[in-house]
Amino acid sequence: MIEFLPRLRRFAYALTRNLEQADDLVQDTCERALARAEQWQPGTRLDSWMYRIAQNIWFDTRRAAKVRGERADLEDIAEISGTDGRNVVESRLTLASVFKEMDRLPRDQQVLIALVCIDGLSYKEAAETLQLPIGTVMSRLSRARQAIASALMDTNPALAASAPGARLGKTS
Amino acid sequence: MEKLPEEVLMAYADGALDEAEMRRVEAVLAADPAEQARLSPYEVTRDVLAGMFCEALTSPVPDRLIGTVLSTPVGIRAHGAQSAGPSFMSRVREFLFPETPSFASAFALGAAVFLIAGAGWLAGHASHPATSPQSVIALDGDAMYADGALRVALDTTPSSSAFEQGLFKVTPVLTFRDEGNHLCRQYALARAGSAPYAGYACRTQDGRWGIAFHAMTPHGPASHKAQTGNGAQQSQDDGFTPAGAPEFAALEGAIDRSIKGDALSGDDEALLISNGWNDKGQH
Repeated sequence: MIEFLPRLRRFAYALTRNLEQADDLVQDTCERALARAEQWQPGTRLDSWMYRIAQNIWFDTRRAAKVRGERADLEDIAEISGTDGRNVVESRLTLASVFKEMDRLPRDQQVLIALVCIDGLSYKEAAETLQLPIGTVMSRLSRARQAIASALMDTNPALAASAPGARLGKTS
Repeated sequence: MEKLPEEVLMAYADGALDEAEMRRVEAVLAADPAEQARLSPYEVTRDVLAGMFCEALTSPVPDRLIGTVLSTPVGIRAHGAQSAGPSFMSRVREFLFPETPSFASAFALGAAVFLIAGAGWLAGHASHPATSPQSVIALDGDAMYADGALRVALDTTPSSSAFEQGLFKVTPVLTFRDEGNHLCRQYALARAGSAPYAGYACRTQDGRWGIAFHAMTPHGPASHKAQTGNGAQQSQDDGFTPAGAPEFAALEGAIDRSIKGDALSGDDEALLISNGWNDKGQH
């Protein structure tokens, strides 16, 4: 389980969409988790608890930023996305469209995308993390993915063509 | 034609269905191209999103982050969070290392857990002994050992003298025995272009230095006096000025709790260095 902190970092990156902010978030999360160690319920998963803390800190931060009138700039997003040869996503446009779509999603759906599609948790683990019924998790996640997929395919029709089921035409 | 619920399609794309359910869905999909087309949003998001944000896993973790993560648990302990501290940390340990019920007792546990988690990054996600010329810490199973310049410095360098190798400059600060009668050395570690670290390591039976504490120490012109808990030597290394920092207080606290008697004299230390830390007093 040594890899948990890097996983938390990736989760934070998926939420913040900015590596520097992600590291700040991981740092804040660890500090808060340790400062509030007594609030952790024995017998529950530590990673779930820390994901929850990270999520709360991030959305609190974002609310504060909104009040101050700050907002993420799409140009910044294009810049920080960089290029990683191993990424399936090569086009900055594709990445930017995912970022933009994620911004539009309700919080719970953003977090679900980060947990399941990016960090690779099972539906059940995500349900435990968010303290939601698994059915709710699955329906929210499927809605979030439909929204992102639709944005992705609009930006990059090749993606739709590459999915086996998609040659037969997109249903809406 | 049966219309599959979105959740079922998603679970099918994610491989999250059990075998029987998977076969049933496969049959429906095979019979109906329109149903099959509904899979694509899930396949696309699965494939594209899984490849995103990978930089967080592969890019170097900033030292400040490692340092905070490493030093925070100890800071909490040092500030006396007795109620939750040890039991919480032992649960963290169980969580991180479920397969290892007990931990080497020579180590100060408060530091060790997140320290090890950090070492996973430092050592490049290694889950087995890992060494490199750039590394000063080797990860072996669930324990960490001094490596590279740090190991050589602890083996050979008298306290208050600096040992430099490559990017690293290590200054042993003092030598002492812990409650388990292990020989331990406090050190300051500076790496070119990075924040300094401080910690201590204890000699293991197999002749390695097990890291007991290792944390980043903020440095700046404001703090100049390095003073350890037991009136022992001060670090005169000008790259290392940890006085007053909470991280350093945590290190002092950790040493205070584990030290037995006073720090060793320079003569005793010199003798140990000359005979390769062959210590009759150690079990």
